[in-house]
Amino acid sequence: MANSISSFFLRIRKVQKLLPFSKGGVRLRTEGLSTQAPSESSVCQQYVSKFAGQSPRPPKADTPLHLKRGAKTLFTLLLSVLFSANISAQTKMTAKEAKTLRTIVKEQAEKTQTITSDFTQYKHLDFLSNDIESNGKLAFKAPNLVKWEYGNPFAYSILFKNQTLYINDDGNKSNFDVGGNKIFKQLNELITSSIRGDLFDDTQFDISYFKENENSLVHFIPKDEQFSEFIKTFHITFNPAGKVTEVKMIEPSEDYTQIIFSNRIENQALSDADFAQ
Amino acid sequence: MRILLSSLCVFLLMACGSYPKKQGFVPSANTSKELLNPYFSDVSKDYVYKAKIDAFQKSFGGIFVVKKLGNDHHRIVFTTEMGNTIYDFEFQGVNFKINRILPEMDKKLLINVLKRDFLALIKENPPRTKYYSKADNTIAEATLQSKKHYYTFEDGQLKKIVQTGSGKEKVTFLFSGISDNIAKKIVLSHHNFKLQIVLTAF
Repeated sequence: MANSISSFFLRIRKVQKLLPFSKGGVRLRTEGLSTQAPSESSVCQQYVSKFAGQSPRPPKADTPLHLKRGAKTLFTLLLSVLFSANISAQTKMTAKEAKTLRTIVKEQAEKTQTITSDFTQYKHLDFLSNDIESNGKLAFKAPNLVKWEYGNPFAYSILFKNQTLYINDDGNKSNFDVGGNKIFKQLNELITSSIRGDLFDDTQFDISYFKENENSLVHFIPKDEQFSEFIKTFHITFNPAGKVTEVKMIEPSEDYTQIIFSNRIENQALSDADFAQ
Repeated sequence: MRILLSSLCVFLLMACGSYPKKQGFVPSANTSKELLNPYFSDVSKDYVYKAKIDAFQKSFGGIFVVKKLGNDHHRIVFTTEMGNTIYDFEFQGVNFKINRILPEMDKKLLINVLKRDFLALIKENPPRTKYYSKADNTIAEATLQSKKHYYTFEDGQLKKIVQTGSGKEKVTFLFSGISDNIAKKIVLSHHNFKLQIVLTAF
């Protein structure tokens, strides 16, 4: 797609002289409209300072002092319960636990030749009232055939095959050679590996491991600067059997795409028709 | 010779006529204070569309999102179907801000085209200058970025915006499937080069 966008621009440049609005630079990069989502820690700090009584808003004069203290204690208690619950839900793994997880996932990936699964995708944009929800079916065949087929609310499929993206957009077919595009090549590898789960490449990612209830959560931070401008962090959730249940791609703006898998079937025979455009 | 000159004069007069006159509309005294374009005017709504873009024999798609954040303040984001952001623009009053754009798309000319198109798409109440009418249909003339835009209303609903330049149609926006101030389908077409964007509401 980036290729097509580039070629679109190159061709649009050819008609530049014909366009009446191509003479002046109208673009304004205004400052002061901060749209960066606040970091988790800054949100927590605001939350803590707000409820721990450090709010700049003065208390109402007619509130009795013992009630104010009682309310503050109650909030502090509630906060500590909330935070301790959160801590117990997600803790950092020891090096030994991380190694065990890598072994389980690798073994699981090696014996997986095909996967079919339903998926639900949530696109979170901070300024929207609701996440944008879509769903469909995924088909994977080792070593690197992947097809995402969206059925609702639109018909769209994207097939990664031999360095090419084959797209079927509600009957309109197109394909893009991504072999020359580093970002899309990496994205393809990332998606393929993340479906199997076997993504533990220290040379490409800074990796951190967490336990989340009975599941494992692994954060992958791309080391490549160009790629990290595209995706800042990649989160993968594994169930106790080492199978991927959820993938979250977080963009530099903190907006993210979350994909939750369900009805996963492994090693079912898949034909070429399952990977047709 | 006389006939030829007369024909030429008639042709020139027709060619020089404004867009409404070419459509057979005549000036009228409408003084409506209603919004010209109500389709992105509700702050409580997330406007989410599947987009199909055809540009120079290439076709690609994505998700097109518009959100009104406040008075004269909109955010427009275009992502791939898998959710990767291609661009993220913000329009507030006369200011335009690029929150994010893929490096491949970060080209001044392309951004100017998109900025001009999207401003016309979301602007609710540009200063109107004249009205024209034909039967039950109305055309409001308004000026946006020093270009004349013509808003065609059929049975009180905005069906079309035409951006003109040098008396010619440059860009057309068609709205259909209208219900509860939401246009289910929007088709944006450029006339002087091949670029068409079709938006279908989720």
